[in-house]
Amino acid sequence: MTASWSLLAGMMFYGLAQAQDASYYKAPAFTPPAVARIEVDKPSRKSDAGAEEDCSGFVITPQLAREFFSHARAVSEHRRMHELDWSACYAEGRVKFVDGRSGSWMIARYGVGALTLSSGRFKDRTILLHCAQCEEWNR
Amino acid sequence: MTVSINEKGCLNAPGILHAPRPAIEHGALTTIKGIIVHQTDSDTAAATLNGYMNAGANGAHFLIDRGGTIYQVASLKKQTWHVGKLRSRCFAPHTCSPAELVIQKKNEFRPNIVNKLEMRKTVPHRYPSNNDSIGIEIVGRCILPRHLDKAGLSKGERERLRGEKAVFEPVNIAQQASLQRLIATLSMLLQVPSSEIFRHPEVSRKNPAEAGTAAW
Repeated sequence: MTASWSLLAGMMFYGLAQAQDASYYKAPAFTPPAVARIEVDKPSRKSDAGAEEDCSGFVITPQLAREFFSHARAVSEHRRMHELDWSACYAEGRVKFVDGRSGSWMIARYGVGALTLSSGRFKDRTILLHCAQCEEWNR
Repeated sequence: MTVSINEKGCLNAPGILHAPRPAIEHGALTTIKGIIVHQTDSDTAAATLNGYMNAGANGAHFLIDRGGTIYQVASLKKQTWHVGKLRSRCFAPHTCSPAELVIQKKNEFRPNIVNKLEMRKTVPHRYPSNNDSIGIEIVGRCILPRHLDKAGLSKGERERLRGEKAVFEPVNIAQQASLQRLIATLSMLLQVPSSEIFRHPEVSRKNPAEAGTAAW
């Protein structure tokens, strides 16, 4: 591979890199409130990034999603990227909390998730979450 | 210049800059059995070097910048927490004994149990771990492929997608050359065989694209 090919490939396939700042290493001060309503839109999906993983046994039900939010804590991007386990298997859905805030969520196998809030404090931000009790759902 | 590792665990070799970051050093590293290659998810070495000063940051022993500059940031006498929970070394290549295969199959999606089982073994029966390996980080971002980074996505939506769909930038020519030189030097000094040098996702459950284009 030549240097110019490398540069060209980078320009063709990837978006602009985002700057990394101190917040990369710090979890936001957010704890999920109690869940009022939860909906699972896509109970089992597989990312193209992990072609070899078997996701057939991974299915997130509303009950499991509630369990996730009752135990999940915010984590830093650094922790998600470098310390927690990654999986190609994930689910997506929406949630409304008892405090009135709502958002869209993603929960992956091994208890790593993300919540994009559509209202209230942290509006339009994505909070990365980890549920230690959900690491070994074995699904 | 004689290539050597001194009593403080510093690699003295041409082209190695020392930028100690004691915050990422942990217990004593008394035996070195392997080398694990990573990517930083940062734009520059400076960002990572600054990040290594944050409380709770973890990193690896060496850092290779975009231009190929190699920094040693941790002593080779100290562990860095760069590996995480180990995958089973026998499961994917189908080399487990029949008895172990039953256990591994049962625990395939239980990373804590698999890690505990693996840590009862020694290299080469398990992958090298934090206890007995050196880590090399290569500067490179993990970003959404352009076809997924659609107009209209909010910053929040991009961040949510990034966890599952993002891939690492290709390792560039200068970084490849430095990686090869560094691995050759470390392998020679520490007698690490090529069979014990891995990309991070081979040994732990990590984004499969991490260091996927690194070659040595």
